[in-house]
Amino acid sequence: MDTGIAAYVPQVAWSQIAPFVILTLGGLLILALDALLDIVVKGITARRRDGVLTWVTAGTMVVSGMLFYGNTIGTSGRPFFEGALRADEFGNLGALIVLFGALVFVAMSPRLIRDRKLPAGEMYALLLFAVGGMTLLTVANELVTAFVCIEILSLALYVLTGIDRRNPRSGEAAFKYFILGAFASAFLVLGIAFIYGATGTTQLFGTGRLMQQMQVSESRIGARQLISDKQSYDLGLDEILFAGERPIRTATYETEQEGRAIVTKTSVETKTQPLNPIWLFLGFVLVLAGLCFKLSLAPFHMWAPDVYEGAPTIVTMLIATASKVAAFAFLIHFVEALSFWEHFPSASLFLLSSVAAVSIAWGNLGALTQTRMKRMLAYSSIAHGGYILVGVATLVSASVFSDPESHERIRNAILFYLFGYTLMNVLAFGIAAYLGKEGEGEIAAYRGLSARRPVLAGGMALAMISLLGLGIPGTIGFWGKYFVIKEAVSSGMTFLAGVAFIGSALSAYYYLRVVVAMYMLPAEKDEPAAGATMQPNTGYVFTLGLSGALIFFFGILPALFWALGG
Amino acid sequence: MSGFSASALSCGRLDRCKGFPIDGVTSPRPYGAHFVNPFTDFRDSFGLKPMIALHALTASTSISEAYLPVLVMLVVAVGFAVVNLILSRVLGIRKPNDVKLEPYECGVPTIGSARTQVNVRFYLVALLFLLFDMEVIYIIAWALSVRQNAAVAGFMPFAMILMAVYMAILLVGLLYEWKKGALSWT
Repeated sequence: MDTGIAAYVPQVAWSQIAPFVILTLGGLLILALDALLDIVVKGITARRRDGVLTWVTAGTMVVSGMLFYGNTIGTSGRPFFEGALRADEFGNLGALIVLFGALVFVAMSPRLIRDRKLPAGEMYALLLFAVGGMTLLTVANELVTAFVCIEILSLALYVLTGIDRRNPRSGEAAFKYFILGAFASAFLVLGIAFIYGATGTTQLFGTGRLMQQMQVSESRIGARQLISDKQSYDLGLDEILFAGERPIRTATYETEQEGRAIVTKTSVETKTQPLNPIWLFLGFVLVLAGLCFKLSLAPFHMWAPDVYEGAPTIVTMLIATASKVAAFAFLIHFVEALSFWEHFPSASLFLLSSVAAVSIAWGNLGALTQTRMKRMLAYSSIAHGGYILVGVATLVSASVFSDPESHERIRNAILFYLFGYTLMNVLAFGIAAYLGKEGEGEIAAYRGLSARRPVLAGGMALAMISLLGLGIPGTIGFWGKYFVIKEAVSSGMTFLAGVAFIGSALSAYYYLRVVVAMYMLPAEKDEPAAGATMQPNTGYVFTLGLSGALIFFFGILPALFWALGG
Repeated sequence: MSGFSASALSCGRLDRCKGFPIDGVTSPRPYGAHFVNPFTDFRDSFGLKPMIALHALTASTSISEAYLPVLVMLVVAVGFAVVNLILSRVLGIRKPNDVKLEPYECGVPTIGSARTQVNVRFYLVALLFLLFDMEVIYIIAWALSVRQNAAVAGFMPFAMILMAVYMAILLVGLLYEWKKGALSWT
């Protein structure tokens, strides 16, 4: 049957998708090397093989990151790859932050692999696939593509969570993460279906042809006239939502008698139909719910403490930093596309604000009573997700039309926050993993650390003060919170700013408790001598030092961050 | 769908009825014919033409109207079951006894526990089976697309490269599981 859609060979923008292709090929190469290395090189030791795998993984990421940086410089912000991807500056820099978190993971993993006898090949292959999914998610311009990316990164992270097979808590964490994650994916895909049903497209931003034509008449009525002769799948969500109407293609069939045979004739015409706001809103709510799970935001955060505690610490670091940055980048692109709908702020602001406020309240209140380090950091990460969502709510309130300049500023503030958040968590989780059993368990075990290991204690104190943010300037966490709250206040979201402020003040108790334990309390007598089994590798020490230095550097000169973006 | 055999049976000439029924329903006479033969005229009742007619009817109306028959169907289906259950509850006579609880022509009483442990290796086999089963789905879709679009310029090399990449990825997976011993039973 003639569907009226002619097949054609898609144009592939190789330079644009090269970073993702390299990540995926790297993952496959790791799998092949893991299987075949001891056939190719006779008598290779396990340690040498793991070393080769580590270097290949790191090299893949560095090359991919360089290509990303190249793309960031000359980004056009136009969709490519049949509209499935769209690399704006925000997405590309988000991908760079993801790659940074993943590189830190690679630098820290040799010790974990050696100590717990983990399969290096599986770990690095899964890591590369996860990072491929995350980086694609930061530039995804299409809801189904985004869903696939989220699945790729989630499935890899489930397995990474449970990769420490000898530790039953790791398996428990993986199981909880998997069951709840699969549930959240169902929300996400149902929301995508509703949005498609309401608008007829899954693409976030169109090619912009319609918007260019609308330069003549920048009004919704003008958009409606232009939209009537298009197809839904040619248009992005932004264009359809801006017009407030969607094109509907109706096919009419007529049967005629030609000679002795009956011939069916098809005639197609395109009309427009007003959008159904209820389905659209329902789709938005469901997609938001799915993303909230991935971001461990308030009503969907239940998995976070158990998973953060059960997973190997550097995997926890990856979940807390890279996957969150990727999901936030997608959430922001999604919300930006929906902002073209004139009723979107009034429909969504209450929801976004309440999720942000509840996340901040719940995260901070939950962290107050925690006695274990990783659980405390899990609740702290819920609260930080809330702070970033304050930025997202502010972004919605300052629409792209009414105030493009402050829109850009808010985006930059969120990106800066995400970068700072990644650095702080890398440092905190890195030091906790460095200390081994002592650092990953009770906070009480940190007592007297400043005497035993002054440098590590200093680094942990820096991470805690930076996570605390407001109160002590000179760290990147301070400026991240300052920018986000400042934008919220100047956009009139004073209530949310107040909630963020109070939450931040509350968090002083549990962040500074760690500092107090390290510097002011004596070590418990029966504490085992720390560092007896420690064999840190150079990369580990280097990344910890680098994160600490960057926290200081951007804490003093935050404006330099924008110089990186070109 | 009116099946191929049904068409062949009722057609006057066999050559007009060749081919897959969906390609074009050939009927000895169009709708609104002068007389109704109950043995031949309703054979298209489950065929393509009524569907086309229904679609033409609904395509011009709104979505909610188009799905109204589905709603009616749902109400009838649920209502039928509910009414029957209530009727049997109201009208039925209940005299419970032990014999009625025994399995009758539904098997035999179970011996031992129905929960038995399954060797974990079966899960691995099932997993691998799923993987290679899924890849066939994609290959079939690819093959159909290639047949349909073979004439489009540049499509053939593009499709072949795509499939080569896909196969290469699968090959790496196969090598990996082979080398890791997932294919050996012991």
